[in-house]
Amino acid sequence: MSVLSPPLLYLVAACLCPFLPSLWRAALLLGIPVAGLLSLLAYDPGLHEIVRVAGFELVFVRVDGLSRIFAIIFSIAAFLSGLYAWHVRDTVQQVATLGYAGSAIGGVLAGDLVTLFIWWEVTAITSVGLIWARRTPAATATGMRYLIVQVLSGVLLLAGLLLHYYDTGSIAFDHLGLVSPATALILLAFGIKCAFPLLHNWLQDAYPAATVTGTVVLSAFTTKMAVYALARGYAGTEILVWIGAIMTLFPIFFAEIENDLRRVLAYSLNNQLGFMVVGVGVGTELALNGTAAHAFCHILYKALLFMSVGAVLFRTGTSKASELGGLYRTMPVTAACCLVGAASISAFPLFSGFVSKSLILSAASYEGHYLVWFALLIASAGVLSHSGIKVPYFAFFAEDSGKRPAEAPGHMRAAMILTAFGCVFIGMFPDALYAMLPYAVDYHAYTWAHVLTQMQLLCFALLAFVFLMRSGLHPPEVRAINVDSDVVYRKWIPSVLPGLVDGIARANRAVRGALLGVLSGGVGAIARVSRPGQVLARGWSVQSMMLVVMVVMAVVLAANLF
Amino acid sequence: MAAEIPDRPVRWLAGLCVVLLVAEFLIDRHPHVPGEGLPWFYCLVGFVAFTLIVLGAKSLRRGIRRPEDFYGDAAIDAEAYPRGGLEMREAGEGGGEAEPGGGAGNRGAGGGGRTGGAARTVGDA
Repeated sequence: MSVLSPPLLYLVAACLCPFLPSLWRAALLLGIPVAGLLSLLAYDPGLHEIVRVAGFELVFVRVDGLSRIFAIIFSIAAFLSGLYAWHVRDTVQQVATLGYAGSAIGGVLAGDLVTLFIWWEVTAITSVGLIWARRTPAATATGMRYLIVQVLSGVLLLAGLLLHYYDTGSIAFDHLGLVSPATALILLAFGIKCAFPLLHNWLQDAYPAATVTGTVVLSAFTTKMAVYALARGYAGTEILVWIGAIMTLFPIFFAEIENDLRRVLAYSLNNQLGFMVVGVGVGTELALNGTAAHAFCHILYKALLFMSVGAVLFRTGTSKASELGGLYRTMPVTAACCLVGAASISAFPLFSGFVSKSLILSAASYEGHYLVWFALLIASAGVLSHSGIKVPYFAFFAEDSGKRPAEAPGHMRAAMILTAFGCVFIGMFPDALYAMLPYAVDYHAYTWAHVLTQMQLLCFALLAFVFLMRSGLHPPEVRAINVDSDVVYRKWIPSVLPGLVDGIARANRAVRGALLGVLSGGVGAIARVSRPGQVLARGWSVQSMMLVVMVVMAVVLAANLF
Repeated sequence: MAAEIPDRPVRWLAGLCVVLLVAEFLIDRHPHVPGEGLPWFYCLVGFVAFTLIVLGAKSLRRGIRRPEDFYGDAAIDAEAYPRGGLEMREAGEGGGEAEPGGGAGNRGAGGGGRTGGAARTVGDA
């Protein structure tokens, strides 16, 4: 395999990174994504970098419409987060970033399930460095929970691919469909990384625990690699439409009442993944275009939102809404960039979310998924509530916290402005994005009807916000956490576990005691009858022994006759 | 709470909403989905959905709210972000800073400011 192939380029750079001076390392984080993108664009569509291992042909670079757009946006995200992290001198984070971005790109370029599995696990192992780099006991514990879930996903993928190979004799990674236990296992593995409902807790747990810059990096890759894998393997799988619809709805409520703005964004990320999963489930060319386009736009505006909240954390030491407010006075650029991200995720016309989300909604309605379409509409109002309003409003406006932090450093501003520019550019010139999509596009986002209906939806939702704030019905931001379903394995099971173990140990002791009692009673009885003069101690004549043996043989013979 | 949102952006928003209500009758929406053709369908969905989401979340919080140290030191909620990874600074402190990539920042600043201005109504409202 050529060292210039995108995934290997990143990994080699990650290996060299620790031995370079600090400025070089920071420069590497900018240079490698550019080099990787150029290398990617140099490949013709088709299969490349094929390695033969033990009779298998592993395809490390498959370039087609679907993989190309994901690899492009991953490269862009790697570059932007590298620029945002220019000040970081921590080698652990730099190595983790390079390895993680490279392995995620490797994942979307993988042409077979074995290669996919390799990169699937490498993303898990490298990305946890971005959490552990916070270097607190809580971050260590959180990182371990994250790693366990991520590796579990990999193990399920491995089990699924082995079964699939046993079933079909093929390791090809093309359309799989939900047709066998093997493909169900693989879907489950993808579902964990894609944060399906009830498999989602690792995301909201781990992303806010990473470093300021690490969260920006994390937000881009793992989940979108899973979206790509779903689009590749499970397009048109009906159940995904419903899973996606639930995913768009339930995180809204948690995001609405969460205090840590980075966790609000993590819930919001989960909700945006739902739109993409619906697109995969609908599975038409329009819907898959929608999924790819939405992943592209989403990576940019989500990174932008995480960057702006990260800049606030960087300057004030907190990202909790209850501690913030009024920061626009001294952080105007960060505030403006946050608003661009908010407008983009809310899908205001002229911003990127508008041109991508509408593909998915249209596809759902064309295929007659009216209920799901309606759920997505409600979710769109919900997106506005937490990401569109809550994040910028409670950080930069709202009640003045009295904090007067300095504006974000120059390189962070540069990264945010570049990302914001990307969001607006795509929103204004969607054809540039549409040209990159996997299938030919015949779709016009900017019709009068569409602009009108979207503006009606969003403006009246804003009006509802004003109404709720003025009437005092809007819940205030308070210093508290909200438990999610992970309370089961983080609190409940650990809290009953000592009692359970103790109970089992005690029952074990009691049962063993009782059995030993029975045994010693039996042994005692045998001992009694074996004493001199007792039954077992008597001498037996040969004749009577023979008689006993014959009786036994006769019984065995008789038993075999019937 | 009530005084937090200034009146000016609210009046702008109210004006925009009136325009959108009227525009409903000037633009053919050619609906696909049953029910979508009802007058002011999107206005109603936007307002009602938003309100129900916020109120629903509020009542959800009653059941799931816990103190910040609920998970103890196995979760980041109760700990401060380590100072070593931050550059906490008040506005006006420290002055000039090294500007790696400053060129890009300056070039893009016009675009950022413009788009920020366009979006400001969103956040202020």
